[in-house]
Amino acid sequence: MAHFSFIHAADLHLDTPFSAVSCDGREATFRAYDRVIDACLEHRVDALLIAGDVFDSTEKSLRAQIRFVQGLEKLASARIQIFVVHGNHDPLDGWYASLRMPPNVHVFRERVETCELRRDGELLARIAGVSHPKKKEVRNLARLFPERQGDAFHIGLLHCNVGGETGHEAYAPCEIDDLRRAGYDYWALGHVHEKRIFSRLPWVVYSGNTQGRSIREKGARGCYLIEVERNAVAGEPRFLETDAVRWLAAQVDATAFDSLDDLRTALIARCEELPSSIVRFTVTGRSSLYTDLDRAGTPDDLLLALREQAGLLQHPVWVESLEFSLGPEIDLAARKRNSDFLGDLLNCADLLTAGDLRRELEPLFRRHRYLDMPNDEELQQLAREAQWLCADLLTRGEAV
Amino acid sequence: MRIESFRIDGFGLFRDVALDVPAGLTVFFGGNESGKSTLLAFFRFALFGFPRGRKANRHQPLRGGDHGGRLVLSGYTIDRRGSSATLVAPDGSHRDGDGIRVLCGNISREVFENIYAFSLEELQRLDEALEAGDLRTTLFGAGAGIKPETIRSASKALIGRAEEIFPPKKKVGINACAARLAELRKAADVLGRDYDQFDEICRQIEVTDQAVAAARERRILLRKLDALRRERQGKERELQLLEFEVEDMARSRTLLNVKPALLARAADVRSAERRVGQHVKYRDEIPEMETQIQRNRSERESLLGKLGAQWNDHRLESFDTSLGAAADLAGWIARINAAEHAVRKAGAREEAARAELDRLLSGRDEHLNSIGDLASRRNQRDAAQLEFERALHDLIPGWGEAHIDAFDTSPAHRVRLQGFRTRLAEAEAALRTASGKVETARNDLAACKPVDGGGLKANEIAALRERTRLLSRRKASPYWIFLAVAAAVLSLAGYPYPAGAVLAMAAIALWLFFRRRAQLRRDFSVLRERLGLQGTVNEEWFVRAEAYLDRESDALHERQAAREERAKTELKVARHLAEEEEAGRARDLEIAAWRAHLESFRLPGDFSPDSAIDAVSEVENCRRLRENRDSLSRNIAALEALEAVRQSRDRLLTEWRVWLKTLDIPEALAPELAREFFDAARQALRLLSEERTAANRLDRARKDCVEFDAAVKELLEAGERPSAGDPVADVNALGEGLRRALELDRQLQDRDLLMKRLRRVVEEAGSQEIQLSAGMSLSEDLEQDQEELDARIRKDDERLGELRQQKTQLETDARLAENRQQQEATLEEMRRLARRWAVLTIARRMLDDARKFHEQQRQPAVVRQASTYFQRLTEARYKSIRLPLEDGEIQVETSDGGLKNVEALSRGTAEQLYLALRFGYIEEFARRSMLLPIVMDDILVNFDAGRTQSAAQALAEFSKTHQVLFFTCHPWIVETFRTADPTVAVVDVDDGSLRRRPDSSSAAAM
Repeated sequence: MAHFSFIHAADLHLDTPFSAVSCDGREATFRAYDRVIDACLEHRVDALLIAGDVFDSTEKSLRAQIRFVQGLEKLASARIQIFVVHGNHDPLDGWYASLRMPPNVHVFRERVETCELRRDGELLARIAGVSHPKKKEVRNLARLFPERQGDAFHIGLLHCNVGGETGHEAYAPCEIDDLRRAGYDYWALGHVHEKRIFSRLPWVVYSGNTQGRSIREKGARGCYLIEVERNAVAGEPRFLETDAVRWLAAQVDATAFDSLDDLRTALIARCEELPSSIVRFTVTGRSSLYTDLDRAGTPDDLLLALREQAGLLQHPVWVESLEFSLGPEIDLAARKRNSDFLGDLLNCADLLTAGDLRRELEPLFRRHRYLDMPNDEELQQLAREAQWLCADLLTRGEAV
Repeated sequence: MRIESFRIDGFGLFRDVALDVPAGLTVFFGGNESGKSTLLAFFRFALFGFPRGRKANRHQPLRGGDHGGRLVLSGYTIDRRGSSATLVAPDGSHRDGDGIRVLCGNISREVFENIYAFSLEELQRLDEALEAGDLRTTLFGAGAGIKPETIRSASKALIGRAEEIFPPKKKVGINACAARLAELRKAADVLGRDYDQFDEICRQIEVTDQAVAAARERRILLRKLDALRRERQGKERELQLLEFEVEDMARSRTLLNVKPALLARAADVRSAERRVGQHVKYRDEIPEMETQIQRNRSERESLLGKLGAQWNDHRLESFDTSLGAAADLAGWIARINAAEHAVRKAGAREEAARAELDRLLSGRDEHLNSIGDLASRRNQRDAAQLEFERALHDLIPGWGEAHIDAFDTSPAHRVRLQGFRTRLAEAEAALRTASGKVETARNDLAACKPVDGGGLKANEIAALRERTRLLSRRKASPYWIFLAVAAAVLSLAGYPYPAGAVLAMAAIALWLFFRRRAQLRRDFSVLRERLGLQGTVNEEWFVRAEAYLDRESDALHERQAAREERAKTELKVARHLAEEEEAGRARDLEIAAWRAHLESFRLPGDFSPDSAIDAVSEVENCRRLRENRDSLSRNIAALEALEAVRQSRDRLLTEWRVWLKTLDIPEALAPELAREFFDAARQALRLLSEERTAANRLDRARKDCVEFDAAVKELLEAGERPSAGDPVADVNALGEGLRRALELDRQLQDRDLLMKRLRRVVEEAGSQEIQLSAGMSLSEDLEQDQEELDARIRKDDERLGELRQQKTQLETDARLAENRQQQEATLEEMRRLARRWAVLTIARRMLDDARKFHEQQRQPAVVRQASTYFQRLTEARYKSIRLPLEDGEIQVETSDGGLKNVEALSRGTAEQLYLALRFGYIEEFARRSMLLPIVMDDILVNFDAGRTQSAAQALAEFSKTHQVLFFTCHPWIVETFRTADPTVAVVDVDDGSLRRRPDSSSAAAM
């Protein structure tokens, strides 16, 4: 009944290309991985479990593979065992350079197998896992796991989508009951990038990714440190932050501003309050600036000026982009009650369905398939912005 | 909603104007520039404020007043001042700004201006729209509260911007991004292919690495083997050389002929060798020593002969040659030499004294120069002393030698004495001359006339002469007495001057006249008394007086000449007296100087210069006598001293002889000879000692030679070696042979050991070689094997280098990563553009939908109503208006059912069409929303009489439901309205004032 500990990490996505971010961003996933390794050494854990998507791409990234092995070698010299499964981003049929793995690493293949984690001959835990053999694994892999054997602490290592989690591809879908059925103590899961504890009996845990890769992955990222005592998780898993660069979203209300300078000053002031990070600003409110910002080139100029200034702050901030959820100074609700053209337009706009909008947008998304058709929520926002745009265009020159 | 009243505080040319407006139709009549259009602007302003834009006319108050006014709209009061507005509800509550908009049925300014409060300009705007060919937009724009062109430009902007981002065909915007993304992906594929080789490179590296390692191992072995073989061969060669050497050495040893018996006597041989040096020395010295002894002996005997017949070795040995004796001898000789030197020196001094004496006494017969003459010399001196004393005594009584020494007898002194003599004589002569002159002058004085002290003095004469002259002039009456008298007469004769003044002047003149006359008389008497001239004073008297005075003057001049002569002589006497006194003083000074001189030489005071000059010679004589005496004294002293040193020397020589005798040296010997004797004895003694030492050494040498020869002979016999005749050579040969034999024996032993060791090494190397080469196929030439191996390793190393470089290149290649980064960035840009495009596209769709909605939903009712009005306005010439949905052509239907496009209508009919459309919209809006007042500014001008009437009729009817304010400048239009509706209210507008016509009901102009 020895006490032991392990770190549960997933979705390292090594060598992820960062969009629209300076070159430093490319190193971020590697630096986050280094922090995971450092955490293992610092906390003297017995094992590191990686629940898939070690690499970002099935495409060839030798650099990522070499850096991965280098990290594992560090752990080998500290006698820490590593258990790895591959996910949809780095399935087994992907390209792998013939790099020699250190002896302390076990990579699970396409068949579920169970390994033993031992320390000085003493059995600490049984670890079962399976890798995705190909990119689009649609089978329920959870059902392939054998039932627990004996009293030892049982860990399941899997890259899957539990309960049809939206926002992530439904590869290796399963239900929480499928996991419970096996009777394991801890399910170390990967695939969902937000950390989440689905269940505490048994522990079903997504550790999330170790480094946020875009504005969609905001906030702290990292891995879980789990202490096991008497074949049970002691206390709560402890979240360890590993992200080298943090993505943040910030809002600035421009209602009170009369000039672009006011807006820029407010944005810089907001940057000064933030820690060093990559920030996406959303300018909200209703302002006469709407018309100014609608002018071609103005938002880009503003962004450049902002980046220049924010980069020189004590905690430099990289402004990823400026989003404008800013409406013109028009009370749309009031105008909707009017019987004029704008009132009719706003009323007509309400009648537009998501389907209507998709049909409008289809020519573009049909032609450029790399782009994803906006979801309903996004469409609603787009429609709102379209109403603002129409209102602004139609009321320019109106009485004050 | 209707306008109940309004008040304009200041707006354009209106100031403080108010009007209650009735419901229904009100016609505002006024000429051009009376203020109708301003009034229309006021209504627009009151409801919607000023239009945006700098060009908008704000109708600043031209006649003063607060800019703005108040409008009461169905109980609601709108108070607008500049850009601020307030709204007060009928219940008195204040509403916010939006309240006015609500009050106006939420219609916009544009709708109000186009539909409700319009001028001919707005009425005709539809015409422009027709020309633009977008009737529907214009029509519905008019009704939509948006300017038609705004909708059009908005639509255009949306389409344009969307096409910039995503044009259907052009490769710009998002299409360009997509093309770039495709290129990047293609490039990524190409880059990715390189990674396929990675595994193969790794495998090859491993294989080549192993091959190289194996080859290196074999190379090391080969090198070792080669080294071993080389070493063994070297050792074998070394062994062979050693064997040859040992053979040579054994031969040399035999030839040396050194028997073991001799080896056993090695110590004796070495001892003999050590003695060789000493032996050779002795052998060489013996004849030399014998010669030396012989030479010594003969020299000693010669010296003994020199010392004297009685001198032999025995006496010689008892002679004291100690250093003390030598020192004593030297001391004696020095003392004797010193005494001799003193005698010589005293002799020289005596010689000098005598020479001096000879010089002094030259001319005398006596010439004394020996000690025997001393007494006569002393007598001479005494005589000289007496002579000197006598001369001194005769010279000047009281004088001693000191006076003689002090007295200056130099020629300079003689000159000085002569100078004294001359100066004294001259002083005396000068004194005598001066005394003579005094005497002469005194005689001259005695000869001078005595001086008379009587008679008049010069100043007295001059005064008397002046007074006489004055009196002689004053004796006639002055002319001004006549003037005074004349004046008195004139005044008395009645001259016009005041008589008093003239009389006073005459009186004063007369008083002055008499006063002067009295004075003259006094003066005459005094003068007469002084001159002593009696008689009457007249001309003659005055001549006499003058003569008298001349005489007195001459006497005075004579007296003065005698006095001057005497004074001159007295001065002369005094001057000569002074000269005499001066000469006497000069002589006394000379005498004093002389006396002082005498004093300085201690001469008697009565000495004349001549006596002094004589004394000089006397003194010189005295001095010569004294010198004689002194020279004689010195000569005597020198003689005495010479005698003393001679005696001293003689005493010393006597002592010296006594001392020689004590030393066994003949006493008659002079000091130098005594020294020579002493030296000879001393040398003879030294020679005796040397001879004895040489004889001892010779004995020792002879003995050593005999012993050495015997020893050598014995050793030769022991070593069985023949003698060479010379024992020294024999010993050397024995020693050399012995050394060489011993060295060879030692070397032979060493080499033997070395050979044994080498043989062992060679054996071991051979066995190692066999061991190492086991299992290897080796050629005979190991070097060649190694070279081949090295070449193989080099080649493999190069290959490995290449492979590793390739591997590193792949490992560090960032191109693919950069490519992915660019892909992601491009994709992000596409997303951004797509989003923007989506907003634009949705906005365009919304705009289209709204337009369609207007066309479909709003049009029928508007057009229906409009058709009715159009029929009425055109007096039923036209039946209806048609506006097809899809195509923009508006058409009107004539009474006979024909269709006409708008272009075919006359201007007036077109305006009637537009008016009808507005009525239609107003009706529809009133039905849907609310009633609003209608303001029209002279819109019927293009209508003919019939249609004007119809229009007036229609408006009169329309005013039953709507409030209509109609502005016109045409009286006939007013009349037309009156005809149409007799109750119509008419308000005259005139230069900023409003006046309701009395025939109208309740409203009143202010």
